[in-house]
Amino acid sequence: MISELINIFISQSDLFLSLTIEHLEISIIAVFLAIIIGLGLGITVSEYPRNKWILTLVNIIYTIPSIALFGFLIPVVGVGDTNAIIALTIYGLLPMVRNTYTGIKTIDPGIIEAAEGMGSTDRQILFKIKLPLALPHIMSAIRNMTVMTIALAGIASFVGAGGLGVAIYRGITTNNINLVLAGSILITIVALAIDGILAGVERLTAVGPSRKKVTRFFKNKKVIAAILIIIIAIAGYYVYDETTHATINVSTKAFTEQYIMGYMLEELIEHDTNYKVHLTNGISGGAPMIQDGMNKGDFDLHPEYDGVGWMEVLNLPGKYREENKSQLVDAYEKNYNDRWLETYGFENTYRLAVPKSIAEQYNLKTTSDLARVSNQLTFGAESDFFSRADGYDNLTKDYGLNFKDTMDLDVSLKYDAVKQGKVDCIDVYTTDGRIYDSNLTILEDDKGFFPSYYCCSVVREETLREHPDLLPVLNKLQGKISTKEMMEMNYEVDVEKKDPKEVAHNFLVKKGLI
Amino acid sequence: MSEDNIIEFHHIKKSYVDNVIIPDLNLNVERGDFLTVIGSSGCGKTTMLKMINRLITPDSGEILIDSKNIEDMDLIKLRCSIGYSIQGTMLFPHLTVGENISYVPDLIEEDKKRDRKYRKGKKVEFKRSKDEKAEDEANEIEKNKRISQWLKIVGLDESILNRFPHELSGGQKQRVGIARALAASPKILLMDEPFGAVDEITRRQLQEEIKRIHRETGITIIFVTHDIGEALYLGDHVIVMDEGRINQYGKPEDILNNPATPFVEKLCERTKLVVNNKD
Repeated sequence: MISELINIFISQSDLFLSLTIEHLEISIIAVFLAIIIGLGLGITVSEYPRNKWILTLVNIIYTIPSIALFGFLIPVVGVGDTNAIIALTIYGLLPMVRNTYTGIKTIDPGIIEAAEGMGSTDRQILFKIKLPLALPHIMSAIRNMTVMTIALAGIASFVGAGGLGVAIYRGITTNNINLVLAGSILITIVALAIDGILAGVERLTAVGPSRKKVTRFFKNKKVIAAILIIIIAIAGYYVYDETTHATINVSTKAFTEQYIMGYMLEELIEHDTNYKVHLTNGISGGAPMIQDGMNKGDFDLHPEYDGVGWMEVLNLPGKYREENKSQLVDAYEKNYNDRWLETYGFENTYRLAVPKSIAEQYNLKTTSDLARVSNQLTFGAESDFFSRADGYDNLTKDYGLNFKDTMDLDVSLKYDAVKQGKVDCIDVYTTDGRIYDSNLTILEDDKGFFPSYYCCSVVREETLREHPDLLPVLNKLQGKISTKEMMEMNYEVDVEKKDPKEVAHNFLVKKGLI
Repeated sequence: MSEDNIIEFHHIKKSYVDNVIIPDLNLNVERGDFLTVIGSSGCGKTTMLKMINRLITPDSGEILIDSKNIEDMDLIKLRCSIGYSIQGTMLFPHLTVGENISYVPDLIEEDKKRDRKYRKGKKVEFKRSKDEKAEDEANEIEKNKRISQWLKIVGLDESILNRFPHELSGGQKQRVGIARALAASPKILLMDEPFGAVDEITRRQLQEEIKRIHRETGITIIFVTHDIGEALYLGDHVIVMDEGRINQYGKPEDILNNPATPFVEKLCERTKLVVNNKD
């Protein structure tokens, strides 16, 4: 276990480094904003009692579950880093406001009266007396809030923000516990390290000779100038980076083959063009949420399944067939100004599968063949399959299937169940990596019951117009990946625990695309 | 109105909601006087004191300092020109002894700079002019000199300049408090039970100290206390207050020998012995 963990850190050190940096960026920006806004609000609340409602308000906001707050912000700011930073800032407000308020309110009123009676203006009382005396409270708020923000930023990947949460989320969705652990451990280390630094700052700013040195240091005009220059330099670098390299924003859904496709697109585009690709890997909330991001211009392109676009995005009735493709393409063009490219070649749809032994025993090739013997077999599927329109009820009706028994199984247990003979027939996703070594025979959907789910790039027309050299690059993938190849790549990630980025790279090399 | 009066109260009235604290106060404070104000708690003595630096505004009537109505003066300048020392000293815990003492001079300095900026038409100036720089430097030196001088006057050693209040003894804190109140060389010093929280021996010393300071500086002191012994011992003049009214104003021996009201008489009875021993 530990050696696997160490292996992960070593083999994917690039990924973890960039995720850690992203994590720090998001957290530090949020902490910085929370300090400024929180201090401002805290001062307002304590100086003007009629503003006390602000305290109640931030209190209420604080009780909103974090996932929900991230979710609430999606319609307003979409998915991505901005969403995360805003949500984290809002969470950071309460500790800041409350501690600033408490810090100021618990000052001996005699001290404030003395300052007032000696001729200080309100401003002078605030800056010379109240804030310095409230500083211990404020500092402890900053420490707590920072640790909280760093931890909470781990959830931010659920709304498509970067950071170490990406590793955790990917670990969960690709069933890779070591990745989850690695991400969590790094978050803990980052949080503790920053807390340690802040503890040092707290000691320096405590009442005593060191605080004087610190204030004198920061009042020095040269120091202020140096800080300003550093900030401008960093900002300048980012602006330069943004303007010299146009960025193509690619997003994917949160499961293995989408991760692989994301990395494949990233590497191919960056290899063939000067564009920088910003990959938002693993958007939860599925197709409608990604479409939302496309409409807002947050994303330029994403790999999508035509059947999903038909049903979940366009909400069109009826089963999607390949002959409906032009209708789908037109509707996307008209509704969203997005273009569907030709498929990569693989289809991730449903099929029924039986162990090879049973297939041979009964000579099963198609689903219609199954109807003959279904009364001797037990069928297992995830509960979702039993409730879908393109699921169990209509399937059995169309094919005249009549299973002996059915069983609700968790997706992750399905393959074990069929291997152990607990069920004889299951539904599978055609690219599922676990099919690879499961000894299953996939039955043909000879009546065309299941909708078509071919995977294609969906690109904003605007992006294609602005970057005309992008289209030929994307078209390179057309028809290059068969369903079996995708299944094998999924197997490498899900079962062999390989890095999806590496798997994508190897495939591109194998196909001579890079 | 007289040139000899530094502060004058004319028909001052103050009440909180329905509770009349001071019905009608008239009082002249002589220049250079050490005036002690004695009375039970809630008699309005602190209210009277705080009206002088406008921490409390009277409902009606007027207060004059040097024949000028204090309502017409700039609040900040007024307060900076009046020393203020209250019970428990209320030193600023986050500032060193030196910074505490120079608090008011620093405020005055900032006020001056504000005025300077205002004169310039609020233009942001990155550089001070040569004159201004020289002026600021001179002020800095002057300030440090004054701090040491005040430390000496209140009987403290310069070695404590960089200490923080929590590192000082009770008596030292009181002395720093007095030095802080005096640091801007005010004409008037308001003291509200300043020695209320120290032990008897230290209090004796501090009383001696403040008497000496008064003698040496010629400052006008208004000193509020609820200890009749302290009031009689310190004051050139004593005011006995009860329910917002001045029962008697006079020299300590007048108060002691010719109490004007039964309240004054009762107040003096227990301390007569002590004071007689003093003489």
